[in-house]
Amino acid sequence: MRRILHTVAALATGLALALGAAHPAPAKEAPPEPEPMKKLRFPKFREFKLRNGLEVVVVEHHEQPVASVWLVVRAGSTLDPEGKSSLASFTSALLNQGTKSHDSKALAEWIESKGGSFSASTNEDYTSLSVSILSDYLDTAWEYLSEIIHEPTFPEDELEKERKRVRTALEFEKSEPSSMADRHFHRIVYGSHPYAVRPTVETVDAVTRDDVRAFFERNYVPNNAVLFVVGDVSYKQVRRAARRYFGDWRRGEPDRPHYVAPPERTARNIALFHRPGAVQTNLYVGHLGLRPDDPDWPKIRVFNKVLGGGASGRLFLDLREEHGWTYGAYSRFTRLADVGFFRATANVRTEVTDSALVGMLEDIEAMVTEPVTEKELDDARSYLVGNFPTTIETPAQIAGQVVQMKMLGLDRRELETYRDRIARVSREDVLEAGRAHVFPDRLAIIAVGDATKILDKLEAIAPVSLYDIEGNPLDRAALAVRAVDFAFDTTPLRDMTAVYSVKVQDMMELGDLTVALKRADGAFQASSKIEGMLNMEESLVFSDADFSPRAYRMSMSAMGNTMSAEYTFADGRAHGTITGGKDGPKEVDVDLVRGSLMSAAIEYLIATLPLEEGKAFSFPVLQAQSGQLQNVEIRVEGSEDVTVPAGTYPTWRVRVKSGEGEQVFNVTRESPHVVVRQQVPAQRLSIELKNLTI
Amino acid sequence: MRRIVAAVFALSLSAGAGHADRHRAGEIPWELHTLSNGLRVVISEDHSVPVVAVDVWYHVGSANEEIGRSGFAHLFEHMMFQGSKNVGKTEHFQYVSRAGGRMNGSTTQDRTNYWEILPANRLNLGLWLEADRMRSLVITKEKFENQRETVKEERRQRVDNEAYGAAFLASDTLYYDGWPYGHTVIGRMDDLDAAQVEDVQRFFDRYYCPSNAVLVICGDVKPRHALELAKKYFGDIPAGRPSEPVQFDERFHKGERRQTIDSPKANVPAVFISYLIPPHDSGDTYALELLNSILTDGESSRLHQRLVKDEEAAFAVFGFMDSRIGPGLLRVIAAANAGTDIATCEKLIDEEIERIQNEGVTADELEKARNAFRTSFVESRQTVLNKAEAIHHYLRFHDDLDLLNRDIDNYLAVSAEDIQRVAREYLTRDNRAVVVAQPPTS
Repeated sequence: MRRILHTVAALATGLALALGAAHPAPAKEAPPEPEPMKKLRFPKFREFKLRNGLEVVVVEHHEQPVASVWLVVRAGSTLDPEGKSSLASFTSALLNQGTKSHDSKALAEWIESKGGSFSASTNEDYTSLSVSILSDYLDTAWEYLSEIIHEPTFPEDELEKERKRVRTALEFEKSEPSSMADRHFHRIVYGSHPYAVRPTVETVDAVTRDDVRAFFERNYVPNNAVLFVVGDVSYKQVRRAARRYFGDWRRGEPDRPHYVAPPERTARNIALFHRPGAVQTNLYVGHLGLRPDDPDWPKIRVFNKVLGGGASGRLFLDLREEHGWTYGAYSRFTRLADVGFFRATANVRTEVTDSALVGMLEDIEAMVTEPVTEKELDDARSYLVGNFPTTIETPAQIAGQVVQMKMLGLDRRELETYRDRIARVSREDVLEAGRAHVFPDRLAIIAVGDATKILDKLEAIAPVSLYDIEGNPLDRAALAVRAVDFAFDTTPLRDMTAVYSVKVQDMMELGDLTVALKRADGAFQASSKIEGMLNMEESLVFSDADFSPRAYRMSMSAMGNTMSAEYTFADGRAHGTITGGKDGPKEVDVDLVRGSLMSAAIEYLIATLPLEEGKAFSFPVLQAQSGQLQNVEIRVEGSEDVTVPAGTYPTWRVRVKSGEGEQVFNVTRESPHVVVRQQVPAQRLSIELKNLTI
Repeated sequence: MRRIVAAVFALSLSAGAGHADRHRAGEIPWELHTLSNGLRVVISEDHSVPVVAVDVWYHVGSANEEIGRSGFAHLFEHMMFQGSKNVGKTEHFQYVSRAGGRMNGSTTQDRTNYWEILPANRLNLGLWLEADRMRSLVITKEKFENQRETVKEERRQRVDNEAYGAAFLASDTLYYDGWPYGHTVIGRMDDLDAAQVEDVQRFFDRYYCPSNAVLVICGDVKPRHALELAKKYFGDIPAGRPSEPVQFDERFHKGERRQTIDSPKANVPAVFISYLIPPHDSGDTYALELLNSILTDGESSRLHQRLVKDEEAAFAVFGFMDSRIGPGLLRVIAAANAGTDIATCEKLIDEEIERIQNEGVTADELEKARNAFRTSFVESRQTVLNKAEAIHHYLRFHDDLDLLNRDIDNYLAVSAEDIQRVAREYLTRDNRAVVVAQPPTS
C-alpha cells in the first residue's frame, strides 16, 4: 500500500512538472551549493594518570577564560544494591550538603561568591560532579571538589530532606503516564538486568545514612573515577593541581555492575497498562539496541534520523502531519555502557490507538524492507554532519561529549571522525544496519491507556498481557465495574462542620476548605467550599440508607481556569453536564451498578467503615470530573499519630486508589472516622484539619 | 553628536578593526566594513569549531512605530519568515534545518534581529537567505492576514493568558509619556486590527534596507572570503536610508505613578516597580548594573535575603536592567507569600534600597557583584551567536565598536560610592512606576 502511494506521488510530481512547463512560473533561484566542508578540529585532549589510579583528561580550550572541572565516578544506579535502588543518587545529592569544614549554606556561598556553579547528577552508568567557573578562580573549583570528596559528612537532616523530595517525585511519577510507560518498558526489555531497576517508595525508605557512607567509601575511590578539566587551563597546571588536591585520595576496591543478560525476545507482543479514563494512550515500542562500541553506530544514527529523529522523520510525518493522531512521534537509540535500547514513542488519542500503532509498526518495518530514498539519506546526513559542531561550542558542551566517550570506553577517534563516518553512510548501509539491529517481529509494545476502550483493538494487532498501572497482572474481568452488595450503615454519621487548611507542596496555603454534613428528610446534605486562590464549591445529597446519590453539583476556579459538573440521578442512571474539563464541555450518561456512590461521598463512607489494619474494600464510584464509573479501592495501611493545626490525633492511614490516582487519608481511630489529613501526592496537595464541630 | 561622527565614519568606507590583547576575558576580535550601499558588515573570526552565525539587525523597533500602529514592528518581523522572491513560504526553515542549523528572529523597542547558526561551509546559505528577504520580501494580503492572526494569538497566549502578563506590560510603559516607549512591543489589539497590508510595504521600504542594517558574520570563516560573499549577495541591494534617531523625553523624577491591575488569573498579588534610568550609553549604567546585582542576583542578594528568607514575605523576588537607547528601566518584581500584604513587600524593598542609599554596600558585596558580572560577561560570549549579538549591541547601543572589548573595565571600575550615588539618584520614589497585580479578592 505504502509503495503504491509513493508511486502515485511520483506520478503527481511528474504531472505537476509537465504542467509547470506549459505555464512557466517565474524562475526561482536555487540556494547556493555548500562549500567544501571545513575540518572539525575537536579540541585536543591529553590524558595522564595519578599513582592512585585517578585518570585525568585535559581539554585545553582557551577561547574564553572559563573552565569546567568534572569529577566523574563509575558509581551509577547499576551499583545500587538490591532493595536499595536510589542509593547512588542519594550519595551524589548529599555530597555538597555538608563537609567537616562547611555546612550546606556555606558550601553554596563559597562557589557563588566567585561567580561559579556546582552540579551533581547520577545516571545508570556514572555520577558526575562538576564545577564551572572563571579560570582565574580555578583554585576554588579544585579546593571545593577536593573538600567534598575528602570530608563529606552526609548530614542526617539533609538525607531526610532528600528522601522526602525523592518520595514526592515518585508519587508524582505515578500520575505521569509517560514515566510509567518508561518504567515498564525498561522492566520488560531488560528483565533482571540492572538497567531495568527503578526506585520505589520501599527502596527509597530503606536507604540509611550508613548505607550512603559505605557506598561512598567503597565507590568514590580514585581508581574508579576520571577527572575532566576542560577550558582555559594548561596541561602543566592541571598536572600540578591534580596531584596536590587528589594525590592523597586513597585507592580502593569499588563495586562492579553485575550485568545480567536481558531476556531474549522471540515474538511481538503487547503489554497494556490500564489507566482508567485516560484520553490518550502512550505507546512505547522497541527492544534492545546496540552496544556502545558497535561499529554500526554511524549507520544507525542516519537510520534513526530518517525514521524518527525530529519533525522531518517518517514517524512524525506519518502519525502527525498526515493523520493528526498525535502531537509528536519519535524514535531513538540509546548508547549506554552496556547494551542500549531502540525505542519509538508516541502519545496518541485513545480512539486512534490501533491505527497509530499499526502506522508505527509499518513505518519501522518499511525501514528494514526498502532502502531510504536518496533525498532522505542526503537530508539526514547533512543534518547530522552540520549539527554536530554546534553542539561543542562551549567548554561545558565539550566536556559533556568527552565524558560520554570516556565513560562508554570509546576511542577518541569516535569524536574526531564522527562527521566523516556519517558522511560516508550509504542507502545500503542504512538498510543493512537496520536489518542487523531492528526486528519488527520481535518488538515489545508497551501501551499505557484505558484498557476498557483499547484492549479489543490491540488484541487484533498482537497478543496482549494486561496489567494495572503499577504493573501487577490484571484480570480482564476486573476491567468491568463491579457491583457490590455491602451492608452500608450511615448511623455513625453526625451533623458536623470542619475547617481544613489547603496547602500545595507543604508550603503555599491555597485557602481554607470548609466541609459540612447535615441530615434532613432521609438524606444527607454534604457540602464543601474552598475560598482563596482556588475557589471550589461542591454539594452532594445522598441517601441515608446506602450513600446512593440524589443530586450533585460542583464548580471550581483556579488560576483563570474554571470547571463545573452537575448530575441528576434517575432509574439507576446518572446524567451529567461537565464544562471546562480536559475534553471540553461534555454530557455523560452512566449506568450505575449496585452500590454506586459519588466520589464526594467517599470520605463519609470511610467515616462509617469498620476499619482495621490491612483491611481493604472496593466500591463502584462515579468520578464527578471525568464522568467515569470506576472501581475504587480503600485500603487501611496502618495506624499513626498525626499532628495538624487542630491538634494531634491517633489515626488510621487509609489509601484510596482509583483510575484518577491515589489519595491518602488519615482519619480518626474512633468512629465516625473523621478526616484529619488528606494528601493527593500527584498534585502535591494536602489538607489539614484546623477545627471541627460535631 | 556621536551619531553624526559614526555616520561620517560609515560613509568613509574605511575598515576599522579591534585587536585587544589575547587573554582578556570575553575578548572578541572584529573588523568592520561598510559596503557601497551603506550596509555595515562586521566579521569576527572564531575558529574553535566549524560553525558560523549570520546575524542581521535592522535598526528599527517598536519605538519607531507610528501612533495607532503599535505592535507593527513585531508583526512585520513575522512577515520576514513568509517568503521572498527565491524562498518559498516554509522554505527558510527547511533550508536551515536540512543544513543542520537553527534560526530565529526577535523584536524589541530599539531593534529587530534575524539570525542563523550554520555549519561554517553553509555561510553562503545564510547570507543568501538574508539577502533575498532584504531585497525582495514577497508581501501578500493573504500572508498578512494570516500573520496578523498569529500575532494576536501570540498576544493572547503570552499576555492575556498569563497571570501577570498585563501587569508586566503596564510596568513596562507606565512611566513613559506616550510615544516612543509608552506602548508595548506586542502592541494593542485594536492597533493590530487597524494595520493594513499597505503599511507592510511602506515599513519594508522605509526600514529594511542596507543602510539601516548591520550584518554580523561570526565564526569559522576567512574574513576576506566572508566579505566577498557579503558583497556578492548584499552588494547590489538599493541603499535606502538610515532611520532617523528617535527623540526621547529625558525628564527624570516626574513623580511616582501607581496603577493596580486586576489579574483574574493570578493567585498571589505581585508588585512591579520600574525606576527610570538614563540611556544605556550613560556612564551611570555601570554602577546601576552592579547595584541591581547586589539587590536581586542570587540567593545571597539583599532582596532575596530580606523578603524571601528573613521575613518570608515574598514567594520570589527578582530584578533586571531593562536598558535601552533612550531612558530605560531598572525593574524589581516581587510576588507575595500567601497571607502577606503586597504593601509589606513594597515597604521591605523600599527599606533595603534606603539602606543602600544611607549606608552603601559592603566590600564583599561589591566583590561578589563583580565576579557575578565577569562570569555572566564571559559566559555570554562563548557561542558564535552570543558574540554576534554582543557586536551588534555595541554598534546599536553605543555607536562604538571599540568598546566591545574594553567595556568590562568600566563595570569592574565601579566603586561602592558609585553604587550608593546611583541608588540615591535614580532609585527614588518620585522616579518610578509601581504596578500592583491584584488577584480577585474572594
